[in-house]
Amino acid sequence: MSTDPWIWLSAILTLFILSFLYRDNPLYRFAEHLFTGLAVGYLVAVYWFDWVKPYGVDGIFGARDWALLIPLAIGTLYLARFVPRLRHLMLVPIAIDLGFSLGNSLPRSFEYGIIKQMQGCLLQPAMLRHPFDPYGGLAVGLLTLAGVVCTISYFYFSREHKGLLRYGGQVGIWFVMVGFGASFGYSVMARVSLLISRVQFLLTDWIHIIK
Amino acid sequence: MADKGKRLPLLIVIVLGTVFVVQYFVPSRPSQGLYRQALRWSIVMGLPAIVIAIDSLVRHHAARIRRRQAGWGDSLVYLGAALLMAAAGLAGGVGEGSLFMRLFTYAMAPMQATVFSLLAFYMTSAAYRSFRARSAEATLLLASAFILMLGLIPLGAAIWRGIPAVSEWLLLVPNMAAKRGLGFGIGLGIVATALKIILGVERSWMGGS
Amino acid sequence: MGWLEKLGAIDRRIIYLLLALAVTLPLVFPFALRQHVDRSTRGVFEAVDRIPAGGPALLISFDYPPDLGAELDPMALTVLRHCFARGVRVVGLSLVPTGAAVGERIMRTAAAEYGRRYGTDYCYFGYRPNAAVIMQSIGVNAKDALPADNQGTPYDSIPLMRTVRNYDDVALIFNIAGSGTVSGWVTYAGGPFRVAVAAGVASVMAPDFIPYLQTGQLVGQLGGMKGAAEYEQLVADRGYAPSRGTASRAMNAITATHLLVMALIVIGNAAFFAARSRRRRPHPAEAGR
Repeated sequence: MSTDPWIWLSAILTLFILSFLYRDNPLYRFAEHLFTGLAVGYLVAVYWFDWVKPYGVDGIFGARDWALLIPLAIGTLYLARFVPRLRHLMLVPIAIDLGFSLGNSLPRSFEYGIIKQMQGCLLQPAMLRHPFDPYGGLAVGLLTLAGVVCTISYFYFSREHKGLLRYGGQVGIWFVMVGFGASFGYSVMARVSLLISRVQFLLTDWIHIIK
Repeated sequence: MADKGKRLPLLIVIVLGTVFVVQYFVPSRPSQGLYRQALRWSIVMGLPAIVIAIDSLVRHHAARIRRRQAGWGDSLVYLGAALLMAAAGLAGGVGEGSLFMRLFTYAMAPMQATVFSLLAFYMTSAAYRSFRARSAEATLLLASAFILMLGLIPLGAAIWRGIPAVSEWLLLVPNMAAKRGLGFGIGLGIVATALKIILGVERSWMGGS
Repeated sequence: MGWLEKLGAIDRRIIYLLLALAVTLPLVFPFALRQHVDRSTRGVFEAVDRIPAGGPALLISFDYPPDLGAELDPMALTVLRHCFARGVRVVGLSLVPTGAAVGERIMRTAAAEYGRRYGTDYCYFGYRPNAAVIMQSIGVNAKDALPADNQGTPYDSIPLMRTVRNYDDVALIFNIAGSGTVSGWVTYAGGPFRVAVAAGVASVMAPDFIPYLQTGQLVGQLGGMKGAAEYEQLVADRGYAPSRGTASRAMNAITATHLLVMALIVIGNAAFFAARSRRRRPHPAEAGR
C-alpha cells in the first residue's frame, strides 16, 4: 500500500465521491463542496497568472503600451453592474464584444462551417473511377447526399410532412438513428473510461495490486 | 422603441458587426491592422469581467454563511477550499511541485474525475432498463449501437474480421451524413441569429424583451 | 412472472456490482489484444510523422478539464512521445482554464522521458483566454497571443519561439478537446490560415466531428480511449516508445464492459418482449369462455 499522504488524500476523496452510489451522505457533500471550492480557487490563480499578469500588468504597464488602457477602461464598465444607477453602462463593453465577435465569426463560420460542408456533399467526377469504393465511390457519394438532404427534411417544420417530404423525413430519421446509435456506442466507452481510470488509480497507486 | 440607455449599445453592435464582416472581405493593410488591434483589445477588455465571474461564484455561499442558512457548513467548506487554493497559487506559484499543483493533482482532479465516473453506473443501469427495440427506428438505433460497441473493442475483430470495417463505415458514412445534416441546421440557425443581432432585429441581449 | 421477466428486474445494486467487476477483473488479470487501426487515427499519425525533426512546430492545445483525463491524457502523452522521439518541436497551450495544469503536467512528463529541454524542444503557455481570439491572433502574430509562457518568461526569451512567428511556422495543430473547440480551430485557424488541424476528442464527441474529416478540414481524429490505444500501438510498433501505454491496458476493461452492457440490453429486451407477449396472450380462464 502507498505511504504517500497525497495518494491517501486522493484515494479517500475518491471513495467519498463513490459513496454517492449508495445514497446522498455527508461525506459525499463534503467532497462535493471541497471540489467546487478548489475549482474556484484554481480559477483565481490561473486567471491571475495566465490572463491578468501577461495581458494586463506586463502587457500594458510592463511594455508601456498605453493604448491598451482604452480597452481596459471600456472593460471596467462591466463593473457598473454593482452600481444600480449606472448598471446600463455595462451594456457598452457587452455591445463591443458582441459586435466584434459576431462580425468576426459570421463570414468565417459561413465559409468553413457551411460552404465547405456543402462542398463535401458534391458529387465529383473522380467518384466514377471506383463507383463502389466504400468511402470515395459514387454510390457512397449519392448515399451521403441523400442522407444529408433527408436529415434536413426531417427537421424542416415550415411545411406539413406530406408526399415527398414525408418519405424524405422518414429516411432522414433512419440516418439520424444510425448517428445516435454511434453516439451511444461511444458514450458507453466515454463513461466507462472515467471509471476505469479511477479504479486503475485505486488498484495501482494506492493499494498496489497492479504493478 | 429602445430606451435611451440602449441606443448606444445597439448602434455599437450594428456598426462593429458590419465593419468586421466587411473587414473579412477586404484584406488591405489598414483592414489587417484593424483586425490585429481588435484581437489584442478584446483580450484586455475582458479582464475586469473576471471580477464578476468570481463574485457570482462566491456571493451565494457567503450569504448562506452570514445568515446561517441550512447547509452553511457546506458553504464554509466551499469558501475555505477556494481561499486555500487561491492563496496556494497566488503565493506559491502554479509550477510543478507547488502546493497549488499538488492540490490540483491529488484533490481537485481526482474528485472531478470520480464525479463524472459515477455516470458509468447510471448509464449501464439506464441502458438495461430503457434501451428497448420498441419500434423500427429504435431497433435501428440499437443495431447501430451494437455494431459500434463491438467495432470499438479488439474482440470485435476476433469474432468476425469484418466488424471493425462495418463499424468504421457506419461512422464515416451514414453517421457523417446525419451529423452534417444536423450541423447545417445548427450552423444556419447561428448565422441567422448573428445576422438578426447585427441588424438590430434581435435585442434580447440588452435585457428585457 | 416467468424467469425471463424476473431477469428483467435485476436490482440496480447488482448491476453496479457487475460493472465494478467488469472494470476491475481485466485490470488485475490483463490480456493483450491488438487494435484495428482506423483511417482517422492513421491520418493523425501520418501527419505527425511527416513533420521534419527541428522543422516547423506542432501546436498542441489541451482544451479539456481533468475529468476527461482518463481518455485524453493517454492520447496527449502518446502523441507527445511520438513528437519527442522524432525531435519534433512542440508548443503547448490550453484554451480552457482547467486545462492549464493538465497540459503542464503532461508536457513535462513526456519531455522528461525523452530528455527534451524546455525552451528549445518545447514550451508551454498555459491557459489563454478568449479562445476564438487566440486562435486567430496566433495566425496574425503569435507574440500578441502568447506574450509570455506560464512561468512569465517573455516570448522573445524562449529560443523555440523566436522561430515561430505565426501559423506559417506551424506544421500541424493538434487539438485535444473535451468541448467544441475543434470547430473553432477548424473555423478560425485551419480554414483562414491554411494550416493542418488534427483532433483528439473525448469519445462522446467523436462521431460529431466526422464531417470535418470527409472534407479534409481535419487531417485525422483520435476518438476517445480507442483512438489513444490505436495511436499507442502505432507508436510502439514503429519503435518510438518501448511499450504500449495506459490506454491499451484500459481497452481490456472497455472490452469487458461493452460486452456487459450489450448483454444487459439483450436481457432487458428479452424480458420486455416476454412481458409484452404475456400481456397480449389472453388469460387461460378468459380463453376458455
